[in-house]
Amino acid sequence: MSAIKKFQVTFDCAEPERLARFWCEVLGYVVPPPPEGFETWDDYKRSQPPEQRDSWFACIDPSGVGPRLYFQRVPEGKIAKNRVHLDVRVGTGLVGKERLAALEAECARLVPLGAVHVQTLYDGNDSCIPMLDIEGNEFCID
Amino acid sequence: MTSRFTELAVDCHDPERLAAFWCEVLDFKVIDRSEGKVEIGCWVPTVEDVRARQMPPTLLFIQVPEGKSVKNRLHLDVSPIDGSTEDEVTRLLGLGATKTDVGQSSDRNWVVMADPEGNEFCVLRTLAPQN
Repeated sequence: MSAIKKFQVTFDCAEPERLARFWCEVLGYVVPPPPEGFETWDDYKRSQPPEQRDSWFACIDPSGVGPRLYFQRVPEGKIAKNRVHLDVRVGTGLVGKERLAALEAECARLVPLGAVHVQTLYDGNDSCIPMLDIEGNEFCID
Repeated sequence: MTSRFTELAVDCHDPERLAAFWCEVLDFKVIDRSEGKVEIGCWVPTVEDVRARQMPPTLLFIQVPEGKSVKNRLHLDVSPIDGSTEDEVTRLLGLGATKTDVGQSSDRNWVVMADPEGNEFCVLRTLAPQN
């Protein structure tokens, strides 16, 4: 048997739709069509029993190339630094001040969306900006 | 303006071992190595490609001093493409994965497993053509 080749990334979280919409804004992803048989996501939600309502949401790459992100509600909160995180890239091919400026511009775009700037790492050539999403999940702008 | 999801970074003790495991799982290849880091992917990203379009992210294994202390809050879901979920689980057990319990109920149609360093992942329903 050959290998799997298809993967998605799942986030444990408190508010799946809110977090999914945040990541849509970060990555240029979109909310997928509602499940089959439903006109809108709200229609789908209303069909769910109360305890299952808002228990999951997803976002997808509109070109179909990048992996789907799936957000599932869990009862427990976040208690340790995540051991898995996303790196999102805006400074590809850039170095020095030009790269730092690109990263800082992206950081400035994401903060109003609810992201938190942790620190700016810059050694004169390379740079990286660790941030937190709206539920405290670490990610890096690099 | 937007960002690209370019890498999924995984903290670990032994980047080479985990990279080898996940290469076998996903049919990825090692595309870069540096001190304490191994990167695997199904392609080698270029600046032009990343700028031009969405891309499948690579996996980047980074050596860290601390161990894993709690269930990961992010995990990979993988989908078999040419065999049953059950057969894929058997293959992954042979590669060093284990079955694990995160409180899922037994009637689920996916299987929760852990990689050789205990990172949880799920094997979902197969995407193989059905006869």
